[in-house]
Amino acid sequence: MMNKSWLFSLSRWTQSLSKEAKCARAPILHLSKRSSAFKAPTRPDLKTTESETTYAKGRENPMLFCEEYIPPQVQPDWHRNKLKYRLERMDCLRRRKAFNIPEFYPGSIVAVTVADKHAPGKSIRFNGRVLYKDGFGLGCKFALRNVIDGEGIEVVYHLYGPYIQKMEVLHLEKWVDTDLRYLRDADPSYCTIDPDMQPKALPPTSVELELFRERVKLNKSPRWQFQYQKHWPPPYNADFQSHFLEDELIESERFSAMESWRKYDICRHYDVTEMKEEIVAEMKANKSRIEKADSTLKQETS
Amino acid sequence: MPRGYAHGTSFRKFGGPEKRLNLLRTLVNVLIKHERIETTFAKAHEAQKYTNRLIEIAKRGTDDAYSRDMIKFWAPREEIQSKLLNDLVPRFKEHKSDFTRLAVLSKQYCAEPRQSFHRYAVLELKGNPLPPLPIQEKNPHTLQNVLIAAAQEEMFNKKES
Repeated sequence: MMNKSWLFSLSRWTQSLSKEAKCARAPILHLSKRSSAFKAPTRPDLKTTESETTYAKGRENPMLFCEEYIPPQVQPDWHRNKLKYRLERMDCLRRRKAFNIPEFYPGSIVAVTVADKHAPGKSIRFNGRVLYKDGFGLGCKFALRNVIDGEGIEVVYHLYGPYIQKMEVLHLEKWVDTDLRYLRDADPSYCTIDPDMQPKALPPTSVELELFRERVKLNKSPRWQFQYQKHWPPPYNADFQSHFLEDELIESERFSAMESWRKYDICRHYDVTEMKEEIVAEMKANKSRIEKADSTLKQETS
Repeated sequence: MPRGYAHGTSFRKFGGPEKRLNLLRTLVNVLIKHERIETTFAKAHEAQKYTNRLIEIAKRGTDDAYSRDMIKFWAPREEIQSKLLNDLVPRFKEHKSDFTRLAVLSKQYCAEPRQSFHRYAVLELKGNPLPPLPIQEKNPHTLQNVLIAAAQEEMFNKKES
């Protein structure tokens, strides 16, 4: 009993001391619980940083950079209206925040559910192989091709269309070509996809995607949709010369020789490396810009 | 102005695409070797674009397959390739885009191949060891240029901070 009261008075005395005196003395005192300075432990930081996911060489964070963020080539260079491109990229980011557009390339198999008021269940699901993904910004379109009951069907969707309810990548593949419209004239097995196909496991973003380098043989008949032998550059994944006769081969070689100078015309090539850094820096700042704009809108309306 | 400049095609024809590239390749190689050449204005204007682009590509280095292919085509001879990679790339290390200077001369009468007046021009690489051309460069001491330089510095400091 005596000890406790002594301790209590001692603690009272130490409290009355100035801070400097306390520090100077540095006393070793066993103070009671009531008067001891309780220091709460620090709360652990449960927030995960955004930069945890690493992206391999050919793959990028879609919030920062995507192929449709690159504006179309305009020659001469100073004819561009850059404000227009910047505004459109901001709108792309707005859509991507609301809806998760997955990463896919021409050649991969994708399933899309689209809103349709006349359909039973108010939505339609269609899956197929991506033939091309073309366009800038919000006007980016991609086409899916599937052969159902022997009939080839193609549907074109807008990547940023608000009528798209769900997008699943069933098989992620990247072909060397970006335009696979020659699959219309090839073996239909490449585009026949089971409507109930189950999604395969996606490789993680830290793994580099291997390019698909097999060559697809086109049909023997000359009635192709497009004269592939007269087009430069010739497609990598298409083998259209196996059925050619001698004179056809000579003609196709003549056409490719006529246009082969384009490979070395450096001023006509579209250099994207500098632009990519600018776009990534711009998109990082766009997040805060969108938040600011939305908050000012709220203030004005409320 | 090259024909069609206002409507998108900013390149001259020069007798066909392959002939044009071969002509421009010789001009670019000669410019790299001698650092100052005198040709018609049209050829100099086109060669300027291609030298700028070639030096940009060479600055990236020979690790890239694309840059290796382009340097092999545009500078096939050893001496010019070595000059480009060992001399010009370190010279223009901090230079951003324009590595050449184009000075226009008076019109000159050409008797062959056809009687015509051609405007000649001098194309040179920046930082060359030859005596400087008598061009009126921008005077940094005029009031306008002093104010512009001050404003640019302010913008630069704002961006940094």
